[in-house]
Amino acid sequence: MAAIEREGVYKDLMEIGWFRRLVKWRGLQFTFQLVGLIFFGGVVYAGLWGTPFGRENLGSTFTWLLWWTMIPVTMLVAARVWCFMCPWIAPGEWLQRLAFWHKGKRSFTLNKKVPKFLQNFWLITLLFLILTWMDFTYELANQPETTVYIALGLVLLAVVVSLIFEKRSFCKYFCPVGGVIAAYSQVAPVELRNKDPQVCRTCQSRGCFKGNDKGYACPMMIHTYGIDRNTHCVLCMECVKTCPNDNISINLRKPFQDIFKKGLGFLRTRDITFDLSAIVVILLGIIPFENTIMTPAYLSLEEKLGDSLGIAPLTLRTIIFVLSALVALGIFWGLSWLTRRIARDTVYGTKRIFVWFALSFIPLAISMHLAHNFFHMFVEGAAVIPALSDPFGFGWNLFGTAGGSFTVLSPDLVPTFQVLAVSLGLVASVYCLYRLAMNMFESRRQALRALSPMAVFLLALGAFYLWLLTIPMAMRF
Amino acid sequence: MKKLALSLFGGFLALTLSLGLTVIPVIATSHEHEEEHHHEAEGLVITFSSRPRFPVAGKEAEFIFNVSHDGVPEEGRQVMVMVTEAEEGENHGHHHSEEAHAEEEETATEMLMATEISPGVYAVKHVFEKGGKYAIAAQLGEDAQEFAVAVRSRPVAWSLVIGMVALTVGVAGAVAVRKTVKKEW
Repeated sequence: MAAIEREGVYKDLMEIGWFRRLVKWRGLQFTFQLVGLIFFGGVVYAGLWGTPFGRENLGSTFTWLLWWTMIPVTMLVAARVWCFMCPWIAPGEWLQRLAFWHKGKRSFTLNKKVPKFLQNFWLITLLFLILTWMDFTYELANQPETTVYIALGLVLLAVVVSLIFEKRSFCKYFCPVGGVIAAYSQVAPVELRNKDPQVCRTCQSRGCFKGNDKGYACPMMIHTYGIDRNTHCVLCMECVKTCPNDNISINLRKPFQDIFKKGLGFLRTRDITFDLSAIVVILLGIIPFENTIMTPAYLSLEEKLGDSLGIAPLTLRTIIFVLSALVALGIFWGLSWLTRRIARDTVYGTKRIFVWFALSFIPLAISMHLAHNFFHMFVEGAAVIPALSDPFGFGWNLFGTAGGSFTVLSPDLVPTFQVLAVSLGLVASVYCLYRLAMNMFESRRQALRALSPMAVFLLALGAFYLWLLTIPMAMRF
Repeated sequence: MKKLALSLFGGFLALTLSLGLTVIPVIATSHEHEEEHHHEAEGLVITFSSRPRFPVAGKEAEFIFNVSHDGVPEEGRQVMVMVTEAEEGENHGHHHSEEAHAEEEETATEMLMATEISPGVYAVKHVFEKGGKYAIAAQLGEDAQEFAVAVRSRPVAWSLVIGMVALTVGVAGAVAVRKTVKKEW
């Protein structure tokens, strides 16, 4: 079936024969999940039986220096492709379906719906904040055992949620990284959409949503016939298998399309909600916080301030962490109000302006996140090389690199990449802001007036973060 | 046929995974109580092992030194063992101040005398006060050889791990019962 021409789409990958056959193969996801689970097993083993030293333990180095830092990269490149292969949900999903890859007829779940009050990103955001808090409080990168307790806890939580609730409720409403993934996936140059909405409208069977003998119903409970953004799609490819009309396309497209493109869901708040936008704004607050607490100047100040106020440094840090998230939300709400006033808006209101304009900050948030991670990836990440040779600290030397000191990239070069990443993110955010404002407001004059306070904030935040990057960070290892 | 082949392939993968997950801990358990290192100097060979492999702070650990010379056990030697903290504990934080570094350098060394438990085999017991990395040096006359030991700050919380697994199994059981009861009613 020929796809309807869509704005910003380069190519439908489903037109490539081998790719189409690959994604229609039922064993594809299982294979990736299995590989992920084997790695996960290695992390668990290393954490519980391996050396207690984080930098010598492959479980810690792999989890915090590779996986945790690479996750934003995967979203930038291929949306929620990580969710496709995520080992956290695999055991729960297999148990729920009573099948590894084939389409079973029975299920092992109570198949309940998640209570209405949990059907949003708030719990996910809270869990993400707790995980981030634990990271800097317990220094998880240095704690192989604690890393395992958390990872194992999440897998078992996924199993329990899958046993009680329908489909991938865990991924949608409980996964602590699900919110960030959902937000970042908006910028990806990949999308799964229907080819022709008219075909979906006339389709009686709705195999994508209900499932059929070819495959399962969409595990993320998406109405594929109305899908117009990457927020929830985990690219599991079930709809590709179940669609009786071959009406699913996997498009390579221009990046950032979900942020501003005019389409089915443009300005419809069903898919883009306040809670999702709040995640973006919270990230704008806590990423600079994460950088700040790794600077020697902050550490010294924290100690002095803690002494003078009689507050433990950790308590003080927790207070600042919570404040950084709340202040970011407050500032952005204020900006949205100001935008509304300046643009003399009578259509959207402050909340909707908050919701939509926050999306244009995603490129900056992701670039700040990446810039922060560059240090962990390229400087601390070198610890993976000796750890690979002696993954559990048993004194092995599999590749002759155990105990060695390696440099992936000179620490002097890291700031160059960081500045480059943040600058690109800043430019992309300004572009998204402009396109969004032009799409939202009728006159160019009103759009320019509307985007001016946001643009000033964007540039100020970008400049502040660039300045933060010039301050050397203390090593975790 | 294709379905059968795929099923066999999947079954094989699942079997490999289950075997892997079962066998690895078994292998690990068999090695858990021993951390072996060898050192050789002019025919004198010292093999060091620690029980458990990663001692836990506050709990007794045993170091065993197998001493031989050209394959013959060295009996009746005096083996002096020196325990020195080589690195700070794993949960002491990562942001070091200069003062903290200075303090770390002033590490105390504990001297212990190993006893011969069988010909050429010397053992010494020790309780570490805190987690961290320690250098264990064995002194035999003029020869001194050093080995490294990583000490856990606290034991692995098996009760937590087992509790989490038990809870999950419990929920699975409850779901099974619920589904069965629903079906039978």
